[in-house]
Amino acid sequence: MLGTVIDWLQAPLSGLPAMVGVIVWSIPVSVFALWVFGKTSNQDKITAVKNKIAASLFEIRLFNDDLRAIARAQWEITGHVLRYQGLALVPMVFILPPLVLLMVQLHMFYGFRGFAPGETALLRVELATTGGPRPDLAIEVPEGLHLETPAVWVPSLGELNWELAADAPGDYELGFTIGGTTATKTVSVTDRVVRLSPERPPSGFMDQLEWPSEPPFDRDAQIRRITIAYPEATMEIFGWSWEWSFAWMVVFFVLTMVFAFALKKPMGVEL
Amino acid sequence: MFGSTKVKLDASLVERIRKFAEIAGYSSPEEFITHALEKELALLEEAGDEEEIKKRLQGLGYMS
Amino acid sequence: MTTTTHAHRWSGVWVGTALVFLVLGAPATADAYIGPGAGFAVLGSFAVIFVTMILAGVSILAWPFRTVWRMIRHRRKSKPLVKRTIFIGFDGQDAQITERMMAEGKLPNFSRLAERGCYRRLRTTFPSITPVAWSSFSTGTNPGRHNIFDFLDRDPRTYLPRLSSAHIGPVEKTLKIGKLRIPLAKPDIRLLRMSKPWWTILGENNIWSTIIRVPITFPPDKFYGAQLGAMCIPDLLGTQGSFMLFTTRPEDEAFQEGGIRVSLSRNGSATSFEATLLGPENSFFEGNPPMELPLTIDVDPESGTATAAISGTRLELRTGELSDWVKLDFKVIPGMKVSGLTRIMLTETGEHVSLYMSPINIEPGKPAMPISHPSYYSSYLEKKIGPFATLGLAEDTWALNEQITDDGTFWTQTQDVDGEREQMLDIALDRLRSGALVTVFDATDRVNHMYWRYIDEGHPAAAGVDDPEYADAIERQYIRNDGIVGRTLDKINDDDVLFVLSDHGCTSFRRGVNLNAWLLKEGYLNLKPGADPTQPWLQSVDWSTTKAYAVGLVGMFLNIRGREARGIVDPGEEAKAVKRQIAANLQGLVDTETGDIAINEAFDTDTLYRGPYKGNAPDLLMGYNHGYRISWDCASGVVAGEVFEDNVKAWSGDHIVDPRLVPGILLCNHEVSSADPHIVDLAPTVLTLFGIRPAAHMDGRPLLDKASLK
Repeated sequence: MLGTVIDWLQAPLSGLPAMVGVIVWSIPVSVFALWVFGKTSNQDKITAVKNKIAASLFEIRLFNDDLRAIARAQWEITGHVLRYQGLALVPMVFILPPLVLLMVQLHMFYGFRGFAPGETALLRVELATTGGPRPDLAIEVPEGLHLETPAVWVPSLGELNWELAADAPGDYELGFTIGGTTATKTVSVTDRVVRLSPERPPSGFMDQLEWPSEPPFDRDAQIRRITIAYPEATMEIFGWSWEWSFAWMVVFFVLTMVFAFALKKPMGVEL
Repeated sequence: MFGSTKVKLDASLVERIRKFAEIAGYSSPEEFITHALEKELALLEEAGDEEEIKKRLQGLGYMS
Repeated sequence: MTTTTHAHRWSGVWVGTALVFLVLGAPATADAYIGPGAGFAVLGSFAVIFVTMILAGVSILAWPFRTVWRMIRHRRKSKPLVKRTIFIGFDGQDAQITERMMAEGKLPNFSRLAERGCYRRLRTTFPSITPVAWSSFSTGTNPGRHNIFDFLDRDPRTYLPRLSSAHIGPVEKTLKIGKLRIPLAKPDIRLLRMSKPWWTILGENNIWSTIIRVPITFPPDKFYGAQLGAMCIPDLLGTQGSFMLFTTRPEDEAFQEGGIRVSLSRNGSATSFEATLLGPENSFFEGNPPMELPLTIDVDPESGTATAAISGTRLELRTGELSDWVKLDFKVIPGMKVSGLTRIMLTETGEHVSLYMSPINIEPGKPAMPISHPSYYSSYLEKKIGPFATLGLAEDTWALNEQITDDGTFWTQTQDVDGEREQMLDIALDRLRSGALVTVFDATDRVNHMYWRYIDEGHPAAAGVDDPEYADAIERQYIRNDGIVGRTLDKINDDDVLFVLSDHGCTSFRRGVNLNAWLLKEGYLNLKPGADPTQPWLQSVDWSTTKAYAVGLVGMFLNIRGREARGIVDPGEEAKAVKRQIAANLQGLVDTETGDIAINEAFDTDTLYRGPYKGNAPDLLMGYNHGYRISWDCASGVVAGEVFEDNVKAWSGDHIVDPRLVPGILLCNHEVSSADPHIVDLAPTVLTLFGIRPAAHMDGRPLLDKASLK
């Protein structure tokens, strides 16, 4: 359900550069996180402990001739900082779950990019059973895609690998048939910021949480998971390209901090 | 000292100042020089704004 | 491809979950999953640790160089006899009351200290008044050498009184852009107390001092140590403490005068009011318009409560209850503000609504004026203990005199300020490993002044005794002081020296003496033809025929040719003769109504003082008898009226009398050598304790030496 909401919210951003999308997302997230932080943290205690830290800093300056006083102030600061972090734990418990859900979703958009025509990527099918001879799995590739290589069987891992190549832009569905059952896997060849599915996960809470773009396989299905190695997304920051699937997260983190800093006064929240 | 400007004085004058500063009860030759100059300046400077001076005293417990 | 796989393994939920544990550890890019709030906590705290590490590192690295530098600059000539010398000052604590209460066993810690060392009466300065006495404490000199003779001084050019201890001049250089005037220099703020305080001398000898709220430290001294200034730090409006009364009572109604009155107007409903607080002048604009803050109040007359909103703070007020400190931010120009602290109290919610606002103290976190040394010392204390009073005379005696506040409110104010002060003492004492520490508590003096009517039967102001709960306020204050002494005694070591002292005592102020009315009656002072003698500031005086006049609180000036702008008395023999004559007439002056002696003696300051500044002193100093003081009218330069009048104000005790009548106290954990110590003796004493020979200009003699410490 969250996925649908995110898709809907993300739709207007799909044609824009990833950087813009990340900026747009970071604003409401900062507001939300600040609001929750303000509501769930002990603001008075945070103010008090921050004052104590500041006082100890002044003390280091004031008694800069006295090594013992400096050491004492330093020691006190360490204590206050630990307390400060302790005070930040409570709001974190409230901020963390929704934020993790949101960021996993956003990772599907901003962590990877779709194929470009002419590019290839590793397609990997992981089966429930390992070892033995190569299983009898049929793959159906729609027009617009083609397989560069025949299947490579890795018995120890129970994995079948192909080089998948893209011919034309489009949203495709690969078909797999094994032992009378069929399965599908989406593939996107696009230059827009859209939801990608690097993995169709096995059943299991953590896997589903991590890969929310496609429904998981059944517990007793013969195929455990199918992954497509989409290229890592590139963040363009002031003309500098950073290709890393987590680059957007770093940018997002910095931006939310900047916005939170800017908004803490107007929102009356002590961080 | 803090926020001060150096002024060159004749060495013998400084010596005389040094000697008489202590006799006169100043805590330092600098204080002597400052006082001497302040006294002269007071003759030249105009009195401050009356209303401002009165305002500064407002609320002094011994008067109100 | 391997990176992708690797990233996959580390991505998503695992990272997020792992982060909860990582939070207390090293910061990683993975912090992203925590979000901004907690991110701040983590990164912020690491930044703090990082900064302190650097600070500490720099401090440690620089320490040997600094130490060597200080050793070179300030060669220590002899060895200190003690590690720490601590002074606790209780302004105005009276010797007689202290002695009686000690005898009655009400001050066990004073007695404990006296048994360990000694108790003495402490002779005070002429005049026996706070700014003079504490300046003598600081410098070890008589007023002729430190230049503070009174709270007030007179400008011989205008005959107007002015503050004797600080000069605050305007900003001379400004850049004009349209209506905007950007100051290019700091205003000229000078301390007029001269000579050299002992902490400056200690600093020159490499010894640290922490000086908290010793009067006449505005602007603060610059020395090796820390200082929080006190008297006469102004309020944010630049006055010595002006309270405000926001009221719906009409202007012309004979209500109370005094303070700054602001009219409250209805704001739509019957219980909703608004007003504009006119704050400090904005020197950035032509004509210095005051900075404004809107105030709104919603009153619930049934319960006597109200909700007030000012400067972004909402306050729940209950009639007669003082709020905590409220921060007021006045916008100067975009991005710049000056802040003050005030305490607010609802005083009535019936037919009329009134709201009391205490004088707006300079906010210590980001002070608008220099109130401490180093400049961040007040910010440091603010971070330590929260907001605190910074005004020189922080307790609002004026509002109580005008009956805007009552005994209970004043008691709360003094006790709260006292509490703030004790926290400062604790912090400073805890961190002082060697050197000197002074903390002066003002509450005793203020309580003496305002509650004396309770202990003096037949006092003209006793009619104003409104609450028997405060009948023993003075004793309660002394008992509180005893607690402070006890707690300090428990914290000091054998190699520390502790002094507990007061600068003067207190006595009754039943009757006021209008010296100018007396001078008029005796023919020394004359009025301009047709002038109204009820006008303040001696505006009615005909200077061309006036030989003497009284300005300030303690004495009288001759109108000397060449000194005063319109002087007529020749400075030589004539002046001496006039002075002698007036002194003789004032000696033993009898209050015609009561038959009591009002003035014991009028002292010639020419023989009283020694030093380069004695020319600035009043020519005669009044030695009033118990029960007498300069009258309220005379203090504000009104000539009219009787020479003697009843004092009916709550301000019912005072010490502007013959200084021999109101000695202070001195207690020490060692036996002092003198049987009759004087407040000027303390500066040479503290120098001696740190192995420094008392400076030649000091008038006092050391009370302790190597032998007496054993």
